[in-house]
Amino acid sequence: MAVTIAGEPDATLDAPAREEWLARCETAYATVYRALIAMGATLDDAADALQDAFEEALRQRTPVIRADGWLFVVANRKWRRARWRRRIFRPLGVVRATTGSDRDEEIDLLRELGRLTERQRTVIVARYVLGLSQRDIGDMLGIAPGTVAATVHQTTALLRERLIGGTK
Amino acid sequence: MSDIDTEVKRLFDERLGTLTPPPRTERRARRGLRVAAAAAIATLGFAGAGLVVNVNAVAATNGVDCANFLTKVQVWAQSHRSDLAGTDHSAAKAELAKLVAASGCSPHDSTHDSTHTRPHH
Repeated sequence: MAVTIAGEPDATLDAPAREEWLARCETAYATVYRALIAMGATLDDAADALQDAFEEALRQRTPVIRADGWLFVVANRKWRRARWRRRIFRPLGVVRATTGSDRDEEIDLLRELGRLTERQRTVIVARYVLGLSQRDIGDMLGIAPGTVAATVHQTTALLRERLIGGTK
Repeated sequence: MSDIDTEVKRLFDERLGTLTPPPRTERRARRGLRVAAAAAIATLGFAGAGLVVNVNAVAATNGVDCANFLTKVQVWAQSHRSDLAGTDHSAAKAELAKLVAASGCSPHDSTHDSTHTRPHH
């Protein structure tokens, strides 16, 4: 998954721009945290991944247009890597016992999101939780805007049918 | 027309709206890593101390406890080599004897009491 939504790749952040960038990351913090939970992360994993992403944001030297999108992509990548590391180092039985959390039973939305494909989930979370435009999502994931639009449409219909029942 | 379904959006807001991230503190995983690093350092420290004790013990057994530490390590290594199967034991022992002789320690040193100040008779 490409980390784009970037501005000029050759430009560098001066001190005021850097402060503004970090302020935008701070503002996006809670939203991206919720987006990671929607992607399937546990509360602790989401906090850890976001913390790591924020540390990377502190090292960011080039301008980024959408701080929330950038933070989401980086945190999501870090969470998935951490999850793979854990799967490698933990016995399979333990992984099976811990991946299905009690929360899934309580919250239908998260369970239904977990049934989607990785791309569907990422697109729908970026659209509904982060509020990114289709164009921004396309830039963020490196896919065509038409594909984003179709994915949003199909996945919304799917979620609507499973969670609310019936079509719009 | 917006592609956002207001009812689905409301579900997202209801489910996720109450979740607030914890304050940005030190990562849990990093804390775990730090504990593991401390344990590894402690283990290395204990292993190193054990090795030093063993080197000194072997040196004392071979009568070179007055020698410098490097010589003691050589004696220790030579002593272990002579214990290995498949080696020329007599050659290794001769080499060990040569090291002991070169150390300049007298046989008395091996039983020397450090609190003892008067010369032996």
